Amino acid sequence: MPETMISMKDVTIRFGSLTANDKVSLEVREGEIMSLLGENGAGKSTLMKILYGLYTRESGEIVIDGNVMPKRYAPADAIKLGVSMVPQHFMLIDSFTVAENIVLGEEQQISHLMMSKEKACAKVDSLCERFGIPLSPKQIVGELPMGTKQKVEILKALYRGTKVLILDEPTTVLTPQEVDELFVLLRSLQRKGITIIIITHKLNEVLDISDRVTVMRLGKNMEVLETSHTNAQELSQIMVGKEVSNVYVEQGEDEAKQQNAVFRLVNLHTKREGERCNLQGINLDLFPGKVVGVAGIDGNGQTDLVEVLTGTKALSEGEIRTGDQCILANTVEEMRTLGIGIIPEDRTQQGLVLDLTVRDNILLGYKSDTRFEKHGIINLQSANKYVGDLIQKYDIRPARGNAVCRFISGGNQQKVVLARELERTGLKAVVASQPVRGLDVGAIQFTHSTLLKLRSEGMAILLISSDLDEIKTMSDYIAIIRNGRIVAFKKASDFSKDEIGLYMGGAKSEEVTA
Amino acid sequence: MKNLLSAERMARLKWQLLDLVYVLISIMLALVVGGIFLLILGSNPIEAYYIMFQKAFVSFGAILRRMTIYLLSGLAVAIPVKSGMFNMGGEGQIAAGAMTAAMLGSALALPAGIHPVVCMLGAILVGALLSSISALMKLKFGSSEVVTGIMLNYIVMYILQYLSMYPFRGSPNSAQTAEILETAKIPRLAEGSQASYGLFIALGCCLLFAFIMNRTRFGLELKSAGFNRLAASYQGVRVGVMSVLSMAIGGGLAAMAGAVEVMGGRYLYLDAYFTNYGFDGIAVAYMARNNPLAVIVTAFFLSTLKVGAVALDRQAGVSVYFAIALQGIIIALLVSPYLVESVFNRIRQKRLAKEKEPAIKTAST
Repeated sequence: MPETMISMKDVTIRFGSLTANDKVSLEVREGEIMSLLGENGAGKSTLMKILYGLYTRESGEIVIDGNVMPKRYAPADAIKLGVSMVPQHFMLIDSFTVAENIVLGEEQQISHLMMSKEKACAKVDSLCERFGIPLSPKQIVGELPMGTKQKVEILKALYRGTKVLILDEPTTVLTPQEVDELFVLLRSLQRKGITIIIITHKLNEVLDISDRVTVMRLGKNMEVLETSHTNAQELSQIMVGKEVSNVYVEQGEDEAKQQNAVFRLVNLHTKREGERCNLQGINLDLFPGKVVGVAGIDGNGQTDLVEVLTGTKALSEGEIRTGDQCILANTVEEMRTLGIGIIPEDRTQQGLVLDLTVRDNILLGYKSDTRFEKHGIINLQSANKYVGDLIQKYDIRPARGNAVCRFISGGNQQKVVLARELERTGLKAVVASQPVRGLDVGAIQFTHSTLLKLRSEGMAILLISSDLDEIKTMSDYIAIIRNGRIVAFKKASDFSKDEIGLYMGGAKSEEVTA
Repeated sequence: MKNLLSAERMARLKWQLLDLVYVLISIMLALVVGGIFLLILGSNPIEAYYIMFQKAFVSFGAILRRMTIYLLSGLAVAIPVKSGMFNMGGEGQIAAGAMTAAMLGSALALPAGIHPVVCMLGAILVGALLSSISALMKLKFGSSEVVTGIMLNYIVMYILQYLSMYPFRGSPNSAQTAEILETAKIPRLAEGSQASYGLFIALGCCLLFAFIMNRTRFGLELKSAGFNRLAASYQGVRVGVMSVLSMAIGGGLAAMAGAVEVMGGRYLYLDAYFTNYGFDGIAVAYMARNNPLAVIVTAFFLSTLKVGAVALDRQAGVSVYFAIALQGIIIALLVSPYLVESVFNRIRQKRLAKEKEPAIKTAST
């Protein structure tokens, strides 16, 4: 039996009222690859940040390589004991060379006074050779592809003599080929005696690379399994929890395809910008009085989908059909006149201008509405009255139109967004993206029941969420988005939760054409 | 519920009051630091300040004339800032506006009522075009509007110097244009007064923009683009258009400042006369926290300071540059909001420590 490298016992940490890690334990043996599996917000990254010394735990014990860690320690202490972390977003200086990035902060290993570029290059070269990483030390980091940048990060850790390598979602920014290369590299590092911990929410990766897997859910650890003794189905079930009964939605008899869709999204494409996933042919129908839930791991095209429907991101291909209209160029005004209300995922950045008042934020959404403005001059009386009515209807607190949005609670901020988007005249469809993220229980219920009330009034609702429970309880139909495509679309009752997890993780796929 | 309301209102009021207190403290601190300088220079600071403000108010017309320029050049900075743009090209825009007014005022023959209006519109157009260059370059090429604004100042200044020296030279002795026609002049407030009715045009602009910013769709969209471009664009605000428009407005206002001074004060364009008004406008806007109504107060304050400094120069032998130094100190203190705040906090902590001290002593004994 190999020795225990990392031992975390009953580690607890709270952020305000949220218990991010609730008596979580983790044991990693020397020289193994351990996966830390869980949905977004399950507490994986938090646990690793505690281990790395970035967060201070409230209780629990941590032993690194036989050293009992004090309650408060810094990343420098963890690094000294051979623990290092490759962050999800790389911390490299783009204008420096590979060698300069690697020795940065550890120049004394080469010389105490003067930095010799040749020596640094030579040192990096020998390191590359030892671990079989093909890197040229003189290349400028900014010109490298993501996969290579990641190798620079790994090499940086090895240069500091790491024994335990923590990788936070290492494959999210990589192409499939780069993922294969990474896994080959990780295995070779393992052979050289390095212990590896991978934080991930992708089932296939767990099965591919790890020896053992620790599954986390809602801040607790559920189970530790030998990878060879488990399968995707089992993991998915542990990760997302037990089947949730459909509490809100009673099953309708009518078939989707027989209904007249209010909106048909046909073959939507967008241009790729930076690292964000673009749309690569979305086909989706929205039906009156039905909730279509779009499930998927964050960063699979949800943001672009919302922005296309908002009108802020242009379509590069495809069209949006409604009635006998067919929209190719989607502008904000166009989408608004079509009757689409948008609840964006980030209410503080996309939903509201926080430094404006509640009234001004609501007014902002009613451009050239003759009720509130004449020749561009705002009719304060009618605007105040309208906003006052909305404040009452949506129970926004404090009940004042001139409260600045920055100083009201998250739940009330969301109510302002809801009030503005849902009270529009001629509304036909609502697009709600992560509508309850970060809200308290009361606000979650308010938001959900508001959406379901609209559904019963015949509104078409598109619910985008990475929370499977939310998708399952709210939706009539479920579509699963992955890599900018809808990979599955069925009646909610026809999906088992395991199946959704499999589609989301990419273990299963079927092309869907509307 | 009622408590919550009043508590929040109190908090907001407290913030606004604190802002005002910071401004006042900064001004006072600057006067203290200035006083130390005066002592070193060998003058009695109290006497000097007395002369400064007393003499300033003797020439009240001069204060109002200068204030007219500051009102407009201050607005020229304050409005673009609301949309997230910084109009650094005020210097060039003011001078270009002045030259335009001088040229139209001397070359065109128009009836008295219409002539100033034409001159003003011409100046506004030129100023708006100038500032739009910076805004468009930022939008299209991502170049900083501050840098392009500064560079444009140089370009404009030298072009104007050329124009006043050669094609439009109106005097054999100096680089200046011909005097504008009587029909183009804005009347003085009173016989022999330095100030003209241009003051009311400038004050009108302050009121107009206070209204636009708070009561119109345009103002709302402009502010929202400045606070949060993403959220604004989600509501259909064309944030790029807003940036350009706000800069064009800023340029137009700055040019108005130059035109008003030509039509109501100097009556001609004189090379190197229209300098520093643009930079002073930044100070005016900053002290006013970019509030169009507060600009009225800060423009008056800075104008008094400047006019007083001239009097000080004559009476007490303290250089005019003293006022510039004083202004520099005030601005430096104002742009470091944490400075005054940290002084506040330190005082508070000391007081707290003092209150605690005896308690600790009794506990230990």
